[in-house]
Amino acid sequence: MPNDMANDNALLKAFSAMHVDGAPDWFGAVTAAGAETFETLGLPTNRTEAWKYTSLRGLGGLAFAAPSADLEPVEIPRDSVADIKGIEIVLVNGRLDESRSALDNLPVGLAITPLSKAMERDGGAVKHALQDESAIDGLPLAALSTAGITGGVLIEVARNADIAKPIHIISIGTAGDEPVAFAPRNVVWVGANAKATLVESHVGVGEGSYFSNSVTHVTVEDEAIFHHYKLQNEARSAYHVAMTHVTCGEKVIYDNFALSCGSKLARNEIRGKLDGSEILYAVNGVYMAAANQHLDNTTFIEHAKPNSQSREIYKGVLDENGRGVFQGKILVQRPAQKTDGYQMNRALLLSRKAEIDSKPELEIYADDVKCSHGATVGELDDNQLFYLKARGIAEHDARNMLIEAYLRDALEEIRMDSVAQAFGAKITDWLAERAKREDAAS
Amino acid sequence: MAATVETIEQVEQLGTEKYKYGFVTDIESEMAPKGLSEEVIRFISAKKEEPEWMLEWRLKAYEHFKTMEEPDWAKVEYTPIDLSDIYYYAAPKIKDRPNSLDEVDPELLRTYEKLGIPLKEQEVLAGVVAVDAVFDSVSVATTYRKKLAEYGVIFCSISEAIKEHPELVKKYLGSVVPYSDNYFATLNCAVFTDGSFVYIPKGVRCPMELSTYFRINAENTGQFERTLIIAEEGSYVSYLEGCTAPQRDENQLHAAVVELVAMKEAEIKYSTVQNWYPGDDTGAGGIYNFVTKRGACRGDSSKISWTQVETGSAVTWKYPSCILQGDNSVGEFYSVAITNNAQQADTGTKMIHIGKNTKSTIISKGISAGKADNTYRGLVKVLPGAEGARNYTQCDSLLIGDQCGAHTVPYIESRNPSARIEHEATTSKISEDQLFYCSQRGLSEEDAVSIIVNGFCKEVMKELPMEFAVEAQKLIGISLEGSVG
Repeated sequence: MPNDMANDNALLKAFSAMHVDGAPDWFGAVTAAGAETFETLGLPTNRTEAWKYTSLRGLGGLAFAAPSADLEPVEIPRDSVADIKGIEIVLVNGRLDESRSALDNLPVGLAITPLSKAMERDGGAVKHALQDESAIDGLPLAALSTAGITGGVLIEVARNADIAKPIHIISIGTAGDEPVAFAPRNVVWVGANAKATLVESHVGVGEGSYFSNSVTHVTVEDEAIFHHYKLQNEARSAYHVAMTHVTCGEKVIYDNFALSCGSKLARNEIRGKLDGSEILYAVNGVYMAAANQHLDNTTFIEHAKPNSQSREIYKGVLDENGRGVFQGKILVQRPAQKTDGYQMNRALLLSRKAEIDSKPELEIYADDVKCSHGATVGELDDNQLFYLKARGIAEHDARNMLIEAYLRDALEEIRMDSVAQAFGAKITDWLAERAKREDAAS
Repeated sequence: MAATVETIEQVEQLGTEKYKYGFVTDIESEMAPKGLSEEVIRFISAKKEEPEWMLEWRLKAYEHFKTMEEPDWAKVEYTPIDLSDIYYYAAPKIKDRPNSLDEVDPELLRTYEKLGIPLKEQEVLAGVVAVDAVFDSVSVATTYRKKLAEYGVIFCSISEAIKEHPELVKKYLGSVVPYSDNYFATLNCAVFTDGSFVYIPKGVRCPMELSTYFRINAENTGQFERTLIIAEEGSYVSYLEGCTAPQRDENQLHAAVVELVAMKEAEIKYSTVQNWYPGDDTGAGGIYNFVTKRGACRGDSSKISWTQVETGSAVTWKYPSCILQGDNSVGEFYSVAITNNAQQADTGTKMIHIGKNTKSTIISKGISAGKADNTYRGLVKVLPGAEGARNYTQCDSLLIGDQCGAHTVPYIESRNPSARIEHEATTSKISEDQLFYCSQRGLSEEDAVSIIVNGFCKEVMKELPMEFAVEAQKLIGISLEGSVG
């Protein structure tokens, strides 16, 4: 026990050491509240129900340092980043690289402001998001992140604006001798009836470890459409914990897709509050783990008002010692009659040492609802394999074809073609790596 | 035939009253002092004339219990149990053990008659069911033992088994649910007072369905039942458990433990109808039902099947589980859980796949009405060696009214690539169309709900033995009274 405490304190110290330059007074209270909440909750263990399958023990043993105040001069690792032509915002070790970020000459209706500057504006979306206690309540890692926010941006899409070009946040972690820990914080506000797309690429450079612990706040106002895609392709020895808070108004369309293939341990958590009627809310994703990777997707969907729809499909493949975790919860509050919720997790185990832990959960307090969830775990369909083999395709190739088809099928959920293509390329890369491993082994 | 007619009559009576089992029989009880202590455990053990090893096991459990904390992970809320305010032993005062039913206290027999188990007639009736009636912790009468003995089947109270078959009890007691298993099971180990013991020898198909009616009676007496069923190679047994409890104002704790052991090619079918007193509209006075039920499929191609209809109790906490150790072994769980008014149920199963080609099926139907909360909580775990394991899970919830809750919390853990696991869950309500259709045909709304819910539960109900199926169907109707209109 004392050891755990020491680890907690060391982590907290690493995060508390960070500061956003020129922050106003109220910001101090926010980080203090984050630190206090983390101290109360502590680093979660397997005994914490929400972290039952994801142990952060490895994290506690590492000594992380705060990133240096000066920006690391690193190249953007284009091979790792999603290949899309977007409005780029670059964060290095959680600090905004203003020189490489598109902060000016933006399309009409779009404003991107460094977090530090946005904070100065009193009563803005940033203050509102950061002071929201429910964003850290009972969430130890989000609280830890809040204790040491390193930087980020405020993205504002004006009412009625239609931003065709995707906004692309590239978060780079630098893996060096001394592992750094950082806490990016981005706040997104999409005005009523607006339309926009955000892509996040989380990548790393160098060999070694780092710890990215981000929090993103997304508010989508009435009748707006917001597409939100994320590629988690961190360095293979990095830790990635990301919390996304989404709030939707009336008749919003929000769709989220997360492709996870990087890091040593990752947790992608999305908490959505459907605070309006006739919302179409989707959270989907693909996860591909190999070596000793541990990939966790945790989602929480709260239906607070009647007549909304939520859809959720996660598909995973787990090779070698890879471990996948899926925890999805749908909460239907009493007033949320006529809710239509669907949740599905499919996992393929490709190795005898792989593991999948799935916990799809429903908590329902309204009677006139249609909610269902499903989960399947298994290997490739023998009939399909036989069909391909009967046509002269070698077993090894046939298997890879089926895995690729299984994964690519999930990309159908992405509504923007260029993003689907860019993410599809990552699936191809992953399968190519796998084929190489198999060749080497045989 | 006679039995069937009688069953139907009994069941018809059930429909006339909301809860007709709300009576307390006035029989003098011999009680241990209130509260939990080593002395009380020694008292229980002495009362039951147990051998030394049994007492030692109880004390070992008690020592461990003192280090444990009451679990709080289940989605149920209740007034904490004051363990010091419970009588752990209450036996009907009988000087000597009766040799026949004639010697049984007539007051007791009348109680059973009210419950619809006329023991006297049971013996006269064609050999349909053997009843090991449990009244407040001590078995008072066991029927058909002679007939069963011809087949080599042992069916007696666990206290008798401890005395008469110590080698079997010693070998299997605690082998499925160890003394340190969980808070309530450990408590049970320390203070269990009675329960049933069944032993089916190799190759024997038990000639009749074995049945126990549980009944909680004396005020403030926690009921700590212990049941142990062993099915040797190639044997088969179907066991029925049914429960009612009289109305009262104080919550009653019930922490039972059931252990099943199935050897090679053996099959155990365990069916439960539970309609203990659920408390009044606010839940006051209902039974706390914290039960640990677990079966081990030890041998290859063995099978354990749990079927339960849970309509009673204020709070239910129950997860009948299967440990599928033997290759090709099969585990099944069929459950209907109905909660109305202020009832809370957190129930489900665990299927642990260890052997090759092990199969499990889970069908759970949860019905929630009034202000009740109904949770399915289940675990399907496939270990690396469980080559070709297969699981199918279906959890359906039905909500009646807008003040209740239905929750599904499945855990699915797989560590074998050849395992196939499927889980499906749905939540819905009774549609206006269904109700309209029924009322058009002259059915009252209440009858319509009963019919629709019975249809919803059909997959589970068909797993119940005949004797239970009729009663259970009626129970569903009774449990949901007042939930509509």
